[in-house]
Order: sequence, then structure tokens, then C-alpha cells
Amino acid sequence: MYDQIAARFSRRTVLSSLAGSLAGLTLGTGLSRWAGANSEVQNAASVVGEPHFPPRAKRVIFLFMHGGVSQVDTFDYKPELSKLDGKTLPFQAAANIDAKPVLMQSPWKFSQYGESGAWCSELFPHIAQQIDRLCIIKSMHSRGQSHGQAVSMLHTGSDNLVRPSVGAWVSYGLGCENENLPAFVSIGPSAGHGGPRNYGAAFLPAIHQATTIGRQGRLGNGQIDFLSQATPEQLELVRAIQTISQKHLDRVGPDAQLQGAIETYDLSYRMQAAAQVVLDLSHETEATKVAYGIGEKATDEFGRQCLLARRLVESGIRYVELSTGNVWDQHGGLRAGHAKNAMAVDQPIAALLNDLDQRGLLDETLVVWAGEFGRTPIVQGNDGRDHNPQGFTVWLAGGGVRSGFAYGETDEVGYFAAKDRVHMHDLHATMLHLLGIDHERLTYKYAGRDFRLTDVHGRVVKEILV
Amino acid sequence: MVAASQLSWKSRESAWLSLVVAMALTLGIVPAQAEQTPAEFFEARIRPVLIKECYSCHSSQAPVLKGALNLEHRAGWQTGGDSGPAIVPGNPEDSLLLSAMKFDGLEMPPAGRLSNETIADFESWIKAGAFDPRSEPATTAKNAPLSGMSIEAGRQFWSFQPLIQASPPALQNPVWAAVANDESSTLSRSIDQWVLARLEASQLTPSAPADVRTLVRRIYIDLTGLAPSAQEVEEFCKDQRPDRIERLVDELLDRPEYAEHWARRWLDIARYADSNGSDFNATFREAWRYRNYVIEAYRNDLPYDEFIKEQLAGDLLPSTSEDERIRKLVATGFLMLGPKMLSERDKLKLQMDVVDEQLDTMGKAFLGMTMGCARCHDHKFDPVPTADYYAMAGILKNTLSLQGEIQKYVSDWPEVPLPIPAEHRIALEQFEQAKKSLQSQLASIKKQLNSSTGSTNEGSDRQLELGIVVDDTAAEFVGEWKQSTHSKPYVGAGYRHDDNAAKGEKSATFMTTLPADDEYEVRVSFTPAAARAQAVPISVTHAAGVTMVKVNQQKSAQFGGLFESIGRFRFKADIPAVVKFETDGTKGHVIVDAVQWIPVRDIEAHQAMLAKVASQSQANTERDKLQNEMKAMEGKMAELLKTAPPPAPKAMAAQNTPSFADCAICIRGEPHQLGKVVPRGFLQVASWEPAQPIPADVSGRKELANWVAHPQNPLTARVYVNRIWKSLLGSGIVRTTDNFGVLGERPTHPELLDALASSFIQQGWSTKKLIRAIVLSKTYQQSSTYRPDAAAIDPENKLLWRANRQRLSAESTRDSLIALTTGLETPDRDSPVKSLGKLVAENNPKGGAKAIQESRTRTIYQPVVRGEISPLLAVFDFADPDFVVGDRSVSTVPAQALVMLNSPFVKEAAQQIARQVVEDVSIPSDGRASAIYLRLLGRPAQEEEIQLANKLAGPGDLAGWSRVAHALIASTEFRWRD
Repeated sequence: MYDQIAARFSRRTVLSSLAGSLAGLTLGTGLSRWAGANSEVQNAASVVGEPHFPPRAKRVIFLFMHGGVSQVDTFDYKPELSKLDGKTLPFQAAANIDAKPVLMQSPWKFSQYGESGAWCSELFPHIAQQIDRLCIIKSMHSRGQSHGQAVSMLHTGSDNLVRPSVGAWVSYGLGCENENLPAFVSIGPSAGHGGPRNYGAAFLPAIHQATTIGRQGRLGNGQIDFLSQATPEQLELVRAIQTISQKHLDRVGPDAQLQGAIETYDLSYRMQAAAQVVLDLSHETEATKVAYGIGEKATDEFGRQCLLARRLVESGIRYVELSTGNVWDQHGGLRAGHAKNAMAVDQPIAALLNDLDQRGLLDETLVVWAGEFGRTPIVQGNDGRDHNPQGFTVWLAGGGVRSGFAYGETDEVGYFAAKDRVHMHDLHATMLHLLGIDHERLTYKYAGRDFRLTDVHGRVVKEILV
Repeated sequence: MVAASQLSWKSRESAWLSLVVAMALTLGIVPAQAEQTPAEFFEARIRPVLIKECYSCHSSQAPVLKGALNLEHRAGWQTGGDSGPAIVPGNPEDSLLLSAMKFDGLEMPPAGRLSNETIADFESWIKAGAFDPRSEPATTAKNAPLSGMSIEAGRQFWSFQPLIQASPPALQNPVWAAVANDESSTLSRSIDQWVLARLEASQLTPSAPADVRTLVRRIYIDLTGLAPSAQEVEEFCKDQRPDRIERLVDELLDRPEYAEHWARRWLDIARYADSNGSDFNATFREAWRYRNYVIEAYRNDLPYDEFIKEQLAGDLLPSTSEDERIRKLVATGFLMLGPKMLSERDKLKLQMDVVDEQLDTMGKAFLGMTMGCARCHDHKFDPVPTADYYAMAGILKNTLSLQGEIQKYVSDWPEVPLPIPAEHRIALEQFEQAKKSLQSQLASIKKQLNSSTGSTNEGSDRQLELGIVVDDTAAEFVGEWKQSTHSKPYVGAGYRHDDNAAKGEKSATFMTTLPADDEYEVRVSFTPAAARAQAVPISVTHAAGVTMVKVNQQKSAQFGGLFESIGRFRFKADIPAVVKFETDGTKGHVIVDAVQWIPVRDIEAHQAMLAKVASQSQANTERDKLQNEMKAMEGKMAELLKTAPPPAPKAMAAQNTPSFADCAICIRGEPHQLGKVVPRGFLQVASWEPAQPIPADVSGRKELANWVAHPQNPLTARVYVNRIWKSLLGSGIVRTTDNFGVLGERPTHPELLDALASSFIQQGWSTKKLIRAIVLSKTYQQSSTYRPDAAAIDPENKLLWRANRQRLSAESTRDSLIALTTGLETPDRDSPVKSLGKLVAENNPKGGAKAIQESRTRTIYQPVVRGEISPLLAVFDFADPDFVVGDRSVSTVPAQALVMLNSPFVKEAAQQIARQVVEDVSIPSDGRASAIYLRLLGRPAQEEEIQLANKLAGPGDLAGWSRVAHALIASTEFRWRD
């Protein structure tokens, strides 16, 4: 369908619009519903465009487990915690929490999987089968005892100030591989805990902000705002707008802004056609859908998100974020809550890893699985765990990371990151590194100084790289 | 939180450390200094560690000197980096280097904590005086720590110099030479002279005046934000008086639309919003008063110096009337409107973050200075030392910006009660009294009702004989629900309510398995009363799917005052029957007591039986009477609530803390690492006289306001006139409107900037006079058409050889389209977010923002909900309310084209325009194209354009002409003003 519509444009039109005078537009990242490229040359020109060194991954899928997954119930196996179940925490707990200083063992059984023999709890039976693809970091720590700060820290590297999102930095640094689509897409982003700040461009040109599909952990109708069908009638309207505007331009110009505006009508028209195809899951086979758990009540939502993510990265989008919505926050009802949430994501994520691999995309796609923090090994109420940015687990898979590998440790009960600690800034530095970007050199001048994703921090965790 | 984890780590570390030291002392191992000379000790234990662990970042080998700290020589650690001296000889506890090595605050080296032995070595070394033989090596330029200008050097920088008044040079150009004798105002003349002087110096000539239709559209849009109607353009064209432009400008400056338009520009700078945004998007119910204040300030042309003082310290200024007092209180909303990380659990940090936000906003808005940098270290470029930052932070810390908690860990902000007219106060008191009396009457009837049946629930117990009843004790609750036995009757031992809080976050699910596939009536019990919610959403999961119903919990329940039916549904025996109570969107308490499933076939028989019982029961007659009384009383209560006077007015406004203090420097911005206390004061570099100490018994905010608004402050007037200039001419004389510091651009016309600033102050800081003078200048009125000859010399038009074309702002586009079609509605000017709850959107998967009905009033009256800016506005670069925006970006992106092509708003506007033209019988059918041009662009169509339009209009029906109007609205000529 896309081909047919594209064919309606003369080759000349397409080429001339691609060679448009606005550098920002040729990056093709303009679908953002909020705003777009600052047409000032300064901003467009400061885009790196080319990586600093050969990248190991070309794009990122970030699976955001909003609310905070408990590390001691998933990947960070602590036999000591079982032994000490019901005992007092042998050291001081973090400040400002509601959990009692009493340890609670995991209600789930752990086993070793794969050749790597990595531990995984029975919450993730499907992911466990893929464990040799994962690079598990068990020594994460971050800032922010509350969701707002920690979610912001995870997304922007700042817990209190408005800063560009990781995806926006990547869009700014690398642009998009597909000129008809935006570089950064966020599916089902939360409106709370900072909302758009977490996928925003802050002071970067607005074009780098995520284009959103759905909200609050839901794909919704799976559409982008203001996108309609590309029809011949609309093409007639587009041509009329362009003719009228061209006459204006001829009278008063040349003027790069007017010229740019005229060209955006071509571009947006082509974008409609391209995006409609990418967003349409009906192009997938029944077998694929079943593999992702689409059609099954528990897994349908996240299955669709994962499948859409694959379609998006396949079409050249740089950074795709998926969100479960704020569902992992089990201060109480841990047994039921974590079981339900894990079930919703387990099969879809495993299918995504498999599918990427089968299509030869996993090698150049970095998959990141993370919550904003972990949960305490000490108990809140009698079936809950409190927030824990002091120590938690994230895992990476795909382009450039050591597979079947675990890095770092928490203390004996899984509370504080203890050995080979990895700060959130370090994770960000490492993600950029894998994309071929030096986190100290990807900067943007704003309000009188150069800003970085990692501020003045960040260490590339070389130990986890291939 | 790092700070939190530090606590526990620290306690463990230090315990460990003291153990090591104790062991070492008993065994006599470590005190190596006893045998070694200080030099030997340094060489053996210290230098190797520095080289191995520190030099890669903290020496001349480092690509960038981290934290400006050089550990390669003695002077390096003596001076220290951003955080001050790294080592205090003899005092390990105050030595930052050591605490960083202990991972106490800073964590150095970042790769991992060094061994305890090494740390103990450093501790001993520092204790013994930190002998260091390394003298200073020659500093290379690369590693010279970046440091800002000294204050003395800073005073020489152009923007910190006093305003200079120079006379414009003599002019050669015959075109404008006449300006010297022009009858226009002195300032307009002076503008033209300065601009012309620069043009002449570059062998440039100014452009011809814009043609009259272009000019009138430009003036309307710039002054009111609205494109002129066809009529307004025609009237102006007909007017042949020589002073018609002056008359138009004066008329427009008097219109309310002028104030609305220019107030919105200030709201960009004040990062105005109707919600907090950030992590906890709380509703700012009272922010609208500040918005109205700004509109009134522009309408009345409040002198800008007063405008500043009122916004920074209005609560501390004298007033001569109650209205003035209210206005000045409301003005201080400026300080309160920032986004705050309300759920930050480290409240000390939160307080300093709020102060920082206020200081940064104030600095950018009034002074064009980025002060945030100086929070952690002396400003790297501008002459703003950290001490100046904390001198001003100290002042703002004496303002009560946070108070209490909305919920656990989530801070609240105080609201200030506003003076209230006696009439209103009395009405409120009377209302409260009437309410109280009704409430007590109701309570007494209820009491009688309960006692009249002898036992609490007896009368209603009969209702429980039917079907299956699930009590609240068996329900599954999400969120915090309170137990109660306050209102009777209820099922079981009590009921629960949502405490009328955290709406949308709470739910209650009742589940049961029914004995047979059958049709059941579902009933719910909820102890009705006046303060209950009226529309509680309940979802019923039955055989055919899920049905949503709403229940009014104020209304007495129909079955024995206990149960209310919510409908009949078919259920299957093998599928759980689920009834879920939600709280989303409810107002008042939501009550959850019990759910009953009754096979429909059983109902009639039971009712007949009940009727029989009732007729036999005297007690029940008595009950009925009381119940009728109660109903009547509830009716009265409902009536009373309807006539409630408006609540006592409050404002988001500043107030002083109970006591005042200076503020200590937070090392590297860490509020838990305090340096020396600095006396409160202002930016030294922008001060024209030695600072007067701020007395201990005042907060300092009024003094700060007076300093900012002082005519001798070198920044204030310059920054403001430059903003106005930028709005009208398209770019500022200083192009970086929010940055007048070293990294900002230099003025293209420094003398003109000063002439504007001086005249502005002399003219009583009048915004209207300033705008008038600029708009009446020949500079402003030039054509914006491109000229290759001039562009070759000055491609960016820095010297103003033509007017700059400007894109209509998001609001101008929207508001103009409404004004030209249905007309703008008169706003009620009230809070646009009063229908929202405490949070605009809940932090849960279901919590969408409540839809706010968009009215067709001007955009400035629409709510600005942080994180929920309407895509229609955001895509056209509406100011992000998280930042001070003095210079909105002007983007050109496909998303705008998509809005223009597909948004219902644009399509509707196009249809309206077409309808106006098609339905106007005075317009002949061949005049329609031109009529549409006139309405949208303020000019008739040319022949070629008419042909194109006719072709696009096809059969010439409404749809056809709508297409024409649509194409024009989406065209560059409508979206820009020439």
C-alpha cells in the first residue's frame, strides 16, 4: 500500500523534499506530535549524525517495568534471605521507607537455567528459556526513593531537573534510519511520575521528543495523533496548499521557513502512508501473533506492544520504549501482583528476543529491561516490599553485550548493591557506548553550558561488553 | 536515595574502620610515621596511590580536569576544585578527599572503593599535616580550571555597565534623513536614527514601508494576537487621515485583546501552569488568579518596576485598599508556580530545589542571568560566585513555599487566605450554620430511625434472606479504604468508604460463584447520606460481558433502606460473578458495604411476603414516617448545598517563614554538605553601590524586589525592553533574550538598547508607551520582502534592513481562527481547573487526565496542565511551562502539516468560513473566492488565485468552498504575518 501511495509522487518531488533546506527534516524525525525540529540552523547542525566510534547496536528497545520489580523475587537469588526469613535485618535499612526491618524470603522458587546456569525465579518461565541471551546486572543503584525521582533518573539521568530523555539524546545523536518515521517512539507512556518529561526533549530541539502511541501502559488504538489515511482527495488539498503557499513565497521570498513549511506537506503525506503500514499488526502471521501471546487475555496487551516494537525497530526507528504502566508497585499483594505482572510480560518478552534473533536483528538491537528501582528484601505489611533504589537488577540483551553473563552483586540479603556497583549514570553511559556514542562527547549547549545525559558522572561498564 | 543509602553505609563503614584502627593500634602495626619521615611516608604510601587512582581525572594527563580538582601538586588540593579545598591538613574530618574515598557523599575513585588500609594511610597522612613535597607545575592552558570572571572584570562586561545615553549620529540617507525632523515621538525617531546609522555604516539601505494591507494585518497580530477581520482591514484602508496608524495603534492598545495577548507572553516567562507537573501532578486550583493579575497589569499598563516588586514581594508592600491588597498578594504567585518534586522524601533537598527553581526563574525572567550554575560551583563563565547564589537563596529560603503533606511523603504548598468582603463572609457563616443545623436534625432522625426498630439493622435484615450476599469483609480492596459504622443500616459489622480521597486510585471488587446459570438482580448496599458520591461507577461482569452502571449514594436505597438494585443480568455458574466499585471521577464519599445477587424468580414472592410483614408492623409505619422525614430533610440539604456561596477565596501566594536566617553554602549543591554561612544579599556584579546588610528581622524579599526593580540595576530594564523589541521585530537586539551573560550574544545595537531602556524608565516603565514608540517607528513598518542586495551583506538581517516575517504563535493561530469564524466567547475568567481533583492525572494505569471541556475562549483562559498541553498548541511550539521561555522556538515540522491537514478544528474553521461566504446573498457566486481571501488574509484574491480557487471548489457547494478555505488556512500566508 505504501508503495502505491509513494508512487503517486513524482520522483522529483520526493527528492526535492528530502534535499530540503532544513537539516532537521531530512533526519525524518518530525512525527513528534508535540512539536518539531527547531529550524534554526544552529540546532539542526549540532546533531552528531555519525557515531563517535563503530556502534555495537543500532537501536534500542527499552522495556520499562514501571513501579519497580523486586530483584530478590526474579533474578537476584539469595539463599541467605530464605534462611533469615522473619529475622531482623542485620544492618540499618534505608531512610524514609515504610517497610519493617524484617526480612521476607521470596515466595517463588529459583532454578538455574541454560548453559550459563543463571538463576531465575519461576515468575519468568519463558524468559528463563532465553537466559543465555541475557546480560544481568545485579548491582544497580540509583537516586530517588520515590517513583517520581527514580523514574526521572532512569529516563533522563536527573532526579529533579527537567532533562532530555535517553531516547531524545539518542535521536539527537544519531537521528533516524528511516526518513519517513520519527527516531524515538514511546508506547503506552505513563502520564504520572513526570509524564511527558520522561520521554521529552527538554531543551533539545523538540523534534527529539518521543512520538507517543497509547498511554498508561496501553497501546490503545495503536495510532499516532492527527494521522489519517493518505487519499487522492487529500493529495489534491496538499497540492492546493502548496500552490497557494508557493505564490506567497515567490512574492516575498526566498525564505527558508516558508520553503520548509511547503515541503512538510509532502513529507507528512508520505509519513502517513509509511506509518500506517508499520503500525498495522495485521501484516503479521498468525504464528507470530500466537508466539507473542496475542489473543491470550493475560499477554495480549504487552504482546502487541512487543510485536509493534519489533516492527518499529525493523523499520529503522532508533529508540522504542514500552511500558507496563505503573503496575509493579507491590507495597502489598506481592504474591498476586508480581505473579500477574510477570505473566503479562514473560511470554511476550521471550517471543520478542526470539523473533529479533530469528530476523537477524538481535545482534544490532539493544534490549534493556528495567524498572525505576527494585524492592526491599524486608517486608512491608505482610505481603509487600518497599521501594529500593539502593540495589536492584536490570538486564540487557542483544547488540554488544555479553550474553549469558551476570555482573555485580548485592549484599547477602539482596538489599544494597555491594560488588561492582553500577549507577544509573553508568548504565546510561554504557547504553550510549553500545550505540557508538561517547557519553562525555554527546553534549548540547543550553543556558550557557554544555549538558550531557550523564551530567558529570557515568562510567562505561566495559566488563559487560563483548 | 543516595543520601539515604549513605547513612547506612556510613554507619557500617565507620564501625569497620574503627575496628581496623583499634586492631592496628593494639598490634602496633600501622603507625608507620613513627619510623618513616613524612617525606618517606608520602612517597611510599600516598604518591603511588594518587598517581594510580586519581591522576587519570585529576591531573594534567586528564582530557578534562574533573571537578576542577588537580591532585598533581600541593596547590591543587589546597585550592581544591568545585567543592573547595580537598584536604584540610591536620583535619581528616573536614577533608573532602578523605570523605570521597570513604564513599561518603562523593564516591572516589568511581571504579570502586579503595582498601581500608589505603584509606587509613590517607587519614594518617592528613592528620599529620599532609606533607606534600610537590610544588606547582606550570599550568597548561588546557588544564587551567575554567573559572568565571571575577566580579571586578565582570563590571566591565557590557550588560553590567550602567545605561549609557548617547545621541544618535547625523544621518546621510535621504530616505530617512527626514526622521530627524519627524513629528513622531522622540523615541520612535531615535530608534530609526540608531538603526539607520548602523545600516549606513554597512552601506545598506532600509526597505520601503510595507503595503497597507500587510501592515494592518501585522499590527493587529502583533498588538492583539488576532488577525483582523475583513471589515477591520477595509475600514483601515478607507481611512485617509494622516495619523491613521497612530489612531489604530492607540485603539488596539486599549482593547482587552491587547492585554490578553501580551499577558500570555509574560506567562511564558513566569512558566505559568495550572498544575504542578513533575512527579505528582497536583492541580493548582488557585493559579488562575495570578493569570488574571497579569492580564490586568497589562490592561492597566502597570509600571514594570511595580509589576516586578509586586510579583516578588507584593505581600510585604503597603496597600491603600482591600482590592490593592488582594492584587499584591496574588502577584506573588510568580514565586509559587514552579514545578516541584513534591514526593521527594528528602525534604531538606526539596526545599533547596524549590529555592533553586525560584532563583533560576527570577534570574532569567528579570535579569537575563542563568544563576542555577552557581548552586554547585562558582559560575564557569559569568561573574556569579556561589556565595552570591546562596546570598539570594537565603532570601528565598525565608519564604514559605511548602507546608504540610498531601499524602505521606508528598509535600503540599500553603495557600494564603485573601481578604474577603463582609457580605461574603456573613453569607459563608450563615451557610455553615444552616448546614450544621440540618446535619444535626438529620442525625437525630437517623438515631430515632435506628432505635425505632429496636435493633440496628432489624428492619433491613429481611432483605438479607434473599440470594447470595457478599459482605465487604470478603471483598478485595485496592487503595486505602476506611472502616466505619457511622451510618446505619449496613450489612454485617460495618462498611467501608474511600475517605473522599485519592479518587481513581481505589477500587473494591466483590466476587462470587453463583449456584446456577440464571438471571439475577444485582443489588448493592451503601448507607445513603448527603455527603456521599452521586455517581459511583460500578462494573458488573456477567455472562454477556461487562456493564458499567452508576449509583447515586445520596439517594435512599429502595429495599429496606439498605439495598439498591443496579440491574438484572444473566450469569453463568462456571464464570465468577464480579461487581467492582470504582472511585474514578466521583465527588463525595464512596461507600462499599455489600453486594447481593438474587435470582429474579425469587424476588416477587419475597416482596409480597415483605409487604405482608410491613402492613402488620406498627414499627414499620413509624419507620416509614421517619424515613419520609429524612428524605425531606435530605432534599433540604441538597437545596442548601446548591445555594452555597463561593468558598472563601485563597491564593497561591508567597508569605514569609516565621523566622529568618542566612543560608549556608551547599557544597556541590548537596544540602547535606554545608559550607560557610553567607549573609543575604544580591548579585554583586550587578550592584551599583556597596551592599547594605539585610537586617536580621526581615526576610529580605522586599529588599531583593527593590534591588531588581531599581532604575540603576543595569540588567532589569535592558532585559525587558529587549523582550518587547523581540516580540515586535522578531529578534532581540540581544538575540539571547534570557541570557545577558558572557555566553549570551552581544547587542547588535547597544546604544539603541540603552536608549530604549533609559526612555522606558523615564516614561514611568510604561509598556504601552514603549510598544507604541516601536510600532510607530519606520523600522518596524518596513516591508519584510527579501532583497538580494541587502541579504548579500547582512543575510541574517541583524541590522534590520527589512522587517522580519513571523509565524503566528500557537495561540494566535487558534484564537484568530475562532475569532474569524464563530467569534471568541467571553471568558468567565474563573479557575479553569476547578473540576479537577487533587491530581490532574492519577499515577496508576487507569488514571487518565480528566477531560476538560475546551471552550471557545481565548487560549490564555484555557488550562495549562503540565504534561497535558493540548497537541494542537504544543505542535506549534506553545511554551513549555517547565521552563522560563522568553524566546519560543519556531519549528517547521511535518506534525504541523498533519494538524493542518487532519485536525477537526481546522476542518471546522474552514467549513465555517465557507458557510459565511456561501450563505451571504450579497456575495455573487463569482465573488466567493475573493471573499474567502479577504476573510482569511485581509486581501482580495488576484485573478490567477480566483481561477485556482474555483477549480478547487469543484461544483461550488459548501464542501468545495470549505476545501478552498482549508487550503488557505493551511497556507504559509495565513500561518505567517509578513
